[in-house]
Amino acid sequence: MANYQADIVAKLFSLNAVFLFLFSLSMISLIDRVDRGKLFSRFLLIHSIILISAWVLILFHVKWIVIPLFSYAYVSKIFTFLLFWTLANDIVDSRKAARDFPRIAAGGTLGAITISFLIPQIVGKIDAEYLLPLWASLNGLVLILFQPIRKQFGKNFLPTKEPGRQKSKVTKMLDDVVTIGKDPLLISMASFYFLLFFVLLNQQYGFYNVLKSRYHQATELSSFLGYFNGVSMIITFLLQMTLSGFVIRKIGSTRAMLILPIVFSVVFLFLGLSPFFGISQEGTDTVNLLFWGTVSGLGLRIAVFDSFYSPNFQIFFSSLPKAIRGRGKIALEGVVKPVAMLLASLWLTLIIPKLPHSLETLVLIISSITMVFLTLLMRKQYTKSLTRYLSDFRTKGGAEVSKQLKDHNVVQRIESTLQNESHNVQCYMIELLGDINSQPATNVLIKLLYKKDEKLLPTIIDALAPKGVPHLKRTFKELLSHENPLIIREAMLALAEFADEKPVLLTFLHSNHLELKLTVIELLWWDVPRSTQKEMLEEIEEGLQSVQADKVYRTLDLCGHIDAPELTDKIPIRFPEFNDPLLQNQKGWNRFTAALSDLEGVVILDWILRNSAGISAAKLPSLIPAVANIIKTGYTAEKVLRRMSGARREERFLLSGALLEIGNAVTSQKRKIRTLFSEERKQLGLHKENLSLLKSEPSATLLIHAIEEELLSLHLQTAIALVALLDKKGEIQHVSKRLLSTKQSIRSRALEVFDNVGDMRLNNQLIQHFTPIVPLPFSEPEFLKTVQSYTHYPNSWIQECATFTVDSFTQRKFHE
Amino acid sequence: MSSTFLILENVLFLKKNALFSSMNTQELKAVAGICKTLTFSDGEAIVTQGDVGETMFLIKSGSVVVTRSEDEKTVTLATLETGESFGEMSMFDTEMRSATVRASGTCSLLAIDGHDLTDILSTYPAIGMAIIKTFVKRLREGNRRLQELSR
Repeated sequence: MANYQADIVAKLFSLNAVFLFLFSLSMISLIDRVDRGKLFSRFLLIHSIILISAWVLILFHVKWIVIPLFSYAYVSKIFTFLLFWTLANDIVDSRKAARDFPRIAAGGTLGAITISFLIPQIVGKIDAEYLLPLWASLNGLVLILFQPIRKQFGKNFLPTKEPGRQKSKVTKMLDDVVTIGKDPLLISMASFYFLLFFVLLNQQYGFYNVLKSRYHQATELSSFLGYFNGVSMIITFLLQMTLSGFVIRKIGSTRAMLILPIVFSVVFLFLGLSPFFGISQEGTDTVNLLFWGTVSGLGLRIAVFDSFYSPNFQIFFSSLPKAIRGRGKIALEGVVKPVAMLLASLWLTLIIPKLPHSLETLVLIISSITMVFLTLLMRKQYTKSLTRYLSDFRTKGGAEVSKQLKDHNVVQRIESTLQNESHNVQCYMIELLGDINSQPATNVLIKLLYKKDEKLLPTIIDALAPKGVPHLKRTFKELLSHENPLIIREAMLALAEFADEKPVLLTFLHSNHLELKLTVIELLWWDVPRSTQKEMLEEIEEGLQSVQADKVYRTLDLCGHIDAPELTDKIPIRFPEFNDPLLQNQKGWNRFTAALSDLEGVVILDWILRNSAGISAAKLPSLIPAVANIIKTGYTAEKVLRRMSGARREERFLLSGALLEIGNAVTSQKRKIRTLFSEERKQLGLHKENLSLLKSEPSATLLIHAIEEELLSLHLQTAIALVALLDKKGEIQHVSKRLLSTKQSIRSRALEVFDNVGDMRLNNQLIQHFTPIVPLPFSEPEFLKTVQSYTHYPNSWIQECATFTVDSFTQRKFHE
Repeated sequence: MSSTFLILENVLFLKKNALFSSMNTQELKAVAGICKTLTFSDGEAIVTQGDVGETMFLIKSGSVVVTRSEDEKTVTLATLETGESFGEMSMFDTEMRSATVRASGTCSLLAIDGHDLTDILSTYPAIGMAIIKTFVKRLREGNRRLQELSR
C-alpha cells in the first residue's frame, strides 16, 4: 500500500480469485492421490523458502515482487487452511470432530487475536518487510510441530488405492470434476457455500457503506475497524470456548448449522423492515439505530460464522469418502468460492447501484431463507452420507464372478481341469457350472452325472435340479434306489422340480431313514390331502420327541421350512421350557428359533415371552422374528406398547425389537414410547451407577463384564429400538446395530447420525449412555451390598458372577 | 477352591488375552471349561522344536524362554511373560513346532487343546468368529509392517 495507490487492492482481489481458481484446478487431481502428510510438510517448507526469497528481493529493492506476493499470500493462506482441515478430517471421525473442531477453531481465533495485537507492536520496532522472515519462521515452527502428528497418524494420510489404468492430467481433472459432481452431499454443500459467500460479501459491502457515511476521516475509520475486529474476535473466541461446543453437542452438529442462516435472515429482515418502523437514514437517532444494527449484524455474523458454521462445515467433510475429501474441499474453496466472489462483485458494482435499497435487501432476505432450506437439505445428505458408509459393506466380488461366468471359455476351462482338482475344488466347480445358465454348462453337468462318481453325485444332482431337464427324470428315478441316502435325497429334490413326479416321492414317508422321511414332508406338505398331512404330523412329532439330538434338530429344521399352522402346539409341547438341554448350544437354539418364526397366536406369544426370562442377551435377538410374526398378524402397536409397561426386561427387549422389525414408525404413540424410554433410562442409570462403584474394585471385573453384556446391552438395545420407532424415515433403525459396534469409527458415525435425526430430546438422553463409566470411591459395605443385589438377580450368569465376586473379594480381604 | 471358582478365574484371565478378548464372558466360560492348568519347573521343556503339537498355552504366572536351534546353534528368540501366549496356530494346523519353549523359573500355564476347542466351536460358533477376527487383525498388522518395511 505504501508503494501503490489504493485502487490496486480492488484489482488484486480479482487477481486473487483467478490465482485461487487456477491453483485449485491444478491441485484437484493431486490432493487425494498423494500422501497428504508429505504434501503438507513439503508445502510448508517451500512456502517458507518463497517467503524468505521475497524478503531478500525486497531487501534488494525489487519492489514489484509485492504484487505477486499479495496474491501468493492469499492463495497460500487458503491452501494452508484447506490442507490443515483435510488432515484433521483424516485423523478424527465425525463424532470426535463435533467435539474437537470448535476447540481447534478457538485456538486459531486466539492466534489471530494475539497476532492482531502483536503486529502494531512489532512494526513499531522493525520494518514491515521483516515480517516476512518472521512469517517464514512461524511456518517452520508449524512444520516442526507437525512431524510428531505425521509420525503418529501417518497411515491416515496415505491415499486410497485407485484401480484402473493411468490417465492423462486433463482426463484425470475432468474425471475428478465429474466424481465431485456426483456426490449429493458435496453438491448441496457447494450450493450453500456459493450462496453464503454471495450474502457474506453483500453484508460486508453494506457494513462499509454505513461506516463510510458515518466516519469521514481515515483515522476514525481505522480506529473503529480496529475496535470492531478486536471485539468481534474476542466474542468469537469466548463463544468457541464456551457456548459453541455445548450447543453443538446439545442440538447436534447439523442443527447447529442452521444458526448462521437464521442469523442472516433475522439481520436482513430487521434491516429490510426498518423503514416500516420509521428507522430511516433521515433522523439522527434512527441513523444510529440503523448503523448499530448493521454493525451488530456483521459482528454477530462473524462470531456465529466462526463458532457454529465453520467447524461444523468441516465436520461434514469427515463423512465424505476419503478418496474425494481433499478434492471436494478444493472444489469448494478454489472453484465455488471464487465464482461466488466474482459474481458478488459484479452484482455489487453493476446491479446494486441501479436497484432501490429495499429490493437489494429483499434479495438478501430471500437468499438467507434459501440458505436455511439448503442447510436442511445438507443435513439430509449428511445423514445419507453417514448411513451409506455404515451400510456399504457388501462385497462386489459376487457380481464380478457372475459376469465372468457368462464367458463361454469358463465352461471349457472348468471341464478340462475338473478331473485334476481336489474333491472340494471339484464340488465348487460343479456349483459354478450349476450357476451358469447355458446349454454347454448343462451338457457338462449331464456328462458328469452319467459318470456316476459317487462322491460327486450329490453336488452334480443339486446343480442340475433347478435346470429342469425332462430327459433326466429317468436317471433321477433310478437314483432313488441308490444305497447312499444323500444321493437319494438329492434325487428326490431334483424330481420335486417336476410336478408330475411328486407322488413317486410319497413312498419315502415310511422310509426307515429319518432324513428321507423329513425331506418328503418338506417337499409334499402343501400338495397332500389332510389325511396324509396327519400322518406327516405324527412323523414330525416322533422326530421332535426323539432322544437323539440330531434327529430333533433336523425335525426343527423341517418345522422352520414348512410354515404350517398345525405345528403351533407341537413345538411348545416338546419344549415347554427354553432351558431344555438341547437348546443350550447355539446350533440347537438357532434351529429352534427358526422353527418358531412362522408360529402364530396369543398362546405362542405368551409362551415365548414367559420363557424369555433369564435367556442370555446373545441368544435373545433370534427370538425377535418369531415375536414380530405373531404381533404383525394380531396386535396393534398400541397394544404391544401397553403390554410392555411393567413387563420384564427381556419381554420389553423382544416386543420393542419386534415392533421395529415390522418396520412401521409408531409416531402416534409418542407419549407412551417416551414413558417406556424413561423406564429403560432409569434402569440403565441404575446399573451404570452400580458399575461406577464396582469399577474401582479389581475382584468385580467379571461381574462388570456380565452386567455390561447381559443387562446394559439389553436396556440399551430396547431404548434404541424405542427411539427408532419414533423415526419416520427409518434412519435410526438403519444404524442402530452399528451403535453397539466395538469399532470406534463405526460407532462414532452411527452416533453422529443419531445426533442429527429423530427425536432430539430422547436421542440426547440416550447418547449420554455411550460415555465411559467413571469409577467412584466406595466403602466395603456399600460394595458388598451392591454385589449382593446381583446374587439374586433373575439371570443365572449374573448370579454366578456376583457370587464369584463376593468370594474373590472376601478371599482378597482375608489375605490382606 | 471349587472348580467353578477356578473356571471363573480362568474366564477373567482369558478375557485379558488378545485372542479371547472379543468373546463374551459366557462363551469364555465354555473355553475356560476346557483349559488345563499345568505347572513347569525351571528349565523344563513345555514344547520342543520339531514335535507335532495341537495345544496353545497361556502363561498364568512366571515366564518362558523361546529358543530355536539351527545348524547346531541355539538362538533365543524371545522371553514371554505372564499374560502372553504361544502355540495358537498349532491348535488349527497341527504343524511341527518351530521353536522350543522352556520354563524360566517355576511357571503356571493354561493349556487349550485344539480338539477340545473344535468340539466347543460347534456349540459356540461365535468363539470361532472371535478367533478368526484376531488372526485377521494379526495378518493385517503383519501386512502393514511389511508395507512399511518395503517403503
